[in-house]
Amino acid sequence: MWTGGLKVETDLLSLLPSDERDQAADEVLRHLSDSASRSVVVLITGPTEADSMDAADRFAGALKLDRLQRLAGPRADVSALDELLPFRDRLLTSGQMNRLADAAPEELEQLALMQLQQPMSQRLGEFRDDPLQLFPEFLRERAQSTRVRPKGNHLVVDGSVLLRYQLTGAAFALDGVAHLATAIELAKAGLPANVKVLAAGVPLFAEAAAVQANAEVSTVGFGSLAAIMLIMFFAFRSPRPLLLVVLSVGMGVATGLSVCVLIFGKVHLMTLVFGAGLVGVAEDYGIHYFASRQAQPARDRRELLRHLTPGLFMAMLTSVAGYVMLAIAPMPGLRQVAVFSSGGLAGAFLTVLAWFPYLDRGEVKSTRFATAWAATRSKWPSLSRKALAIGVLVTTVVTFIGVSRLSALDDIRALQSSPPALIDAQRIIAATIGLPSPAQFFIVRGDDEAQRLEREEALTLKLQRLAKEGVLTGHEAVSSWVPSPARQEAQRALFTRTRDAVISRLADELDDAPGPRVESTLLTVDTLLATSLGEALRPLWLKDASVVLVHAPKRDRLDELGALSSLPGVRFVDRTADLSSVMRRWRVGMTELLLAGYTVIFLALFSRFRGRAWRALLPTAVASGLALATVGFLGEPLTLFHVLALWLLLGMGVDYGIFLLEHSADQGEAWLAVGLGAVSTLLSFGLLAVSTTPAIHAFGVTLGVGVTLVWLLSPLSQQKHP
Amino acid sequence: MNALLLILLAAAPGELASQVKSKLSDAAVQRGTFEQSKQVKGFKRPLKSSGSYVVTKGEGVQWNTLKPFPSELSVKADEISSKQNGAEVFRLDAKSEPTVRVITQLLFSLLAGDLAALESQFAATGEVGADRWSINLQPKSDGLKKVFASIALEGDRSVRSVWLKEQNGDSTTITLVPEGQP
Repeated sequence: MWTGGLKVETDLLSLLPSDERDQAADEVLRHLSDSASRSVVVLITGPTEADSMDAADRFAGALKLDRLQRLAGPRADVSALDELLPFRDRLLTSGQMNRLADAAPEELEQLALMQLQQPMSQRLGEFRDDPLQLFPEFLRERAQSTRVRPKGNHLVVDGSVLLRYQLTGAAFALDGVAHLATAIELAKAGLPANVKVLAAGVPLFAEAAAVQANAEVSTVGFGSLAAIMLIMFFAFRSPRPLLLVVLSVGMGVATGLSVCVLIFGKVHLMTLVFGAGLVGVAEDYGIHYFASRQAQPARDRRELLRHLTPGLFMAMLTSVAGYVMLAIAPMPGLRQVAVFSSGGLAGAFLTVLAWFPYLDRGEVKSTRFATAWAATRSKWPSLSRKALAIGVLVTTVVTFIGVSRLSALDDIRALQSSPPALIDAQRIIAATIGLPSPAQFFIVRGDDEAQRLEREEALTLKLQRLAKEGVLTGHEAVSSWVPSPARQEAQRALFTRTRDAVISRLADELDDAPGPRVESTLLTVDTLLATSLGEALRPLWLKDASVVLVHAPKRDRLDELGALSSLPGVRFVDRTADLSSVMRRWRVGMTELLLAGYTVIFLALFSRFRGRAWRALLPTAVASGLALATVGFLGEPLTLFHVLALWLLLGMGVDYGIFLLEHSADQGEAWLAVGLGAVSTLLSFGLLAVSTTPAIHAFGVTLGVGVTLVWLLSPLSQQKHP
Repeated sequence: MNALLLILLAAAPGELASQVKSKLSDAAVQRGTFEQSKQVKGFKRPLKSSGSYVVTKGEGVQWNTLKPFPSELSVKADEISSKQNGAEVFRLDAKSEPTVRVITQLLFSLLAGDLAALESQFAATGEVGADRWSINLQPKSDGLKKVFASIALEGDRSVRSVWLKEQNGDSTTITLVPEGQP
């Protein structure tokens, strides 16, 4: 499993639920993202167009990176033109249709002659085949979906030169090194200072995310590991406990990764960042074991472990339960986190159980640090039921105040944390070269090709009207190039009538016709897709649905596009809104489920502790409320991830209550274990709060505050010492 | 004479341009009348038209055909539009079609005799005499080669005739008569 190398995925969207309603939408997205995930575009702008071209050549020559392939400059638009020429009598713009429908023959003749007599007018093909030059006008209108034009060997747009690249072969190795960005910077360095270089594309975002996550994994992972080792050293002053706890954590992480790779085939970066946080939980079992050993040096270690096992098992079970709840949310990424963490905890737990008695020979000496820490337990007050009731009342009020300040945020865009410069470059390039929106598009269905094309035409007619009102800037559809058979027939009739009218009026002026005309045949989608022009349209024509892409839809007028879903066979997909509504549904749903979760955990605790079960659960409940309130007081918006963190807090926080309950007579060593566990959890999960990925940050804040509070509150709810 | 011609033909590109420029008047606005004869492939006879024109330096060209029937063509740096009987029949702007600039620049340069600008797109050879000059232009880029076979210009203090030979078999002769220069 390990020999093939670990596959790491970075696409944040893969953490998100797949489209719940529409498989075709999913297929479209896959198509779009497949091609998009490999493409990199670079826009080079010099003081003049010639400077841009010169700089682009130098840049392209200097950019050297394996598997980054430069795509041929200008598209073969001339050959596409030749390929479509036989069908020109079937291709008219809607403007031409309106204009020609009721034009008198003499008007048409004048129009034809006027066009000829104007200087610089360009004539395409024989005069008698297209006297009004309708086909060039059609091509011009269709070409307006993008302002990029071939010029010599370059693609030029507004004086800038566009370079297109594609990553070939398997996905890029995301090892936390900015290969692509560095190569682009290096190539850019050789250009004059007055040349501006903008680069955009999914690979750049993925790389930036990988670099960022890599740094965070290191910070969180090494930070928490170092902290744990330091604490272990102070508490036990001996290498053996330290090494064994690290061993249990290492086995846990290895188990988690293996299970993940077995089930998913690859590991998401967020899983790794989370995995670093797991270190802080998995060590609890080992610490608990050694704290007990230290307190009872005389007791046989196997006998001691047997005594500890039910509590440890219960603690592991509640933690795993918390993680399993993450897996219920329809997010593949979170499922991975859940699988990874459950596997990791079980691995660490089993390591303690199976290996510690054999490897841990000799005695565990007591240390001054450990004794002093354990002694603080007796000074820590345990509250009477009355005092507890008052405390709960007060914290409930505080919680309500804090929670009332929360405002929910379900917008998927808020979860992105890409570098602003990259987002700007992407935005500028998209606006300059006219890229279709990746998140909003239409799906059109029909019984056959003809019906699908007709439905597309009904849709694009509306889109043209909306474009005039500024709702969008344009659209891309297969039917723009292949009209429906009915429309082709109508256009052919109009084209032929117009042409014949002009030719017959000019008959005396013209050379004799070379012979009978060849009738054009129906232009089919297959014919178009086989042309060089059709290549770009292929992703829009799927097996049982087609896609109409929109350019620059106005965010505040998306509902006008959505209203077009009422057309037969048409569905508007707003990926952003869909995902945001899914996020909202799950945030609300998981919050409601949390109550059920508390009930389940309580029943589990009740089966072991009976009347004392509430004492293990209460601190976690209070801490959860206060953690949520803290988010409110901090002014941060509430997201699904805060709620999911509360699930984790439930799973982990209850552990401390369990450990203390298990040792109700003398809680010194349990207090030490809880303290060590809490501090290391705090250091590992709390460090997640430094993450710039909002989802991970949300986990960090909630768990950091929550774990601290559970730790400090746990003794309060314990029974008073006799 | 032959030797002189050779020397002129061999002149460096910039020199030819500045020689032609030195002959041209530097009036900001030039008006006049034109006659155009266009042989279109498939037509038995050339199509003849005539009318008036205005070339405003750095701004645009107004091309008003009067015969055989009236139409107006207005060419600005970023826009080409034409009208017939006061109604617009055609409009292209550089915002939606960037190649418009190539066409407008070419027309400006041809009618103004701006050889320096033309030399970025064409290889120019020619002869500059005491009063008159003539230039032959061969397109350099593949894009222009697909459209033009060759272009010739002739003039004195202003451009007097333009001869366009297109790849599709059409050829156009435009004769200009500037106001005040019979």
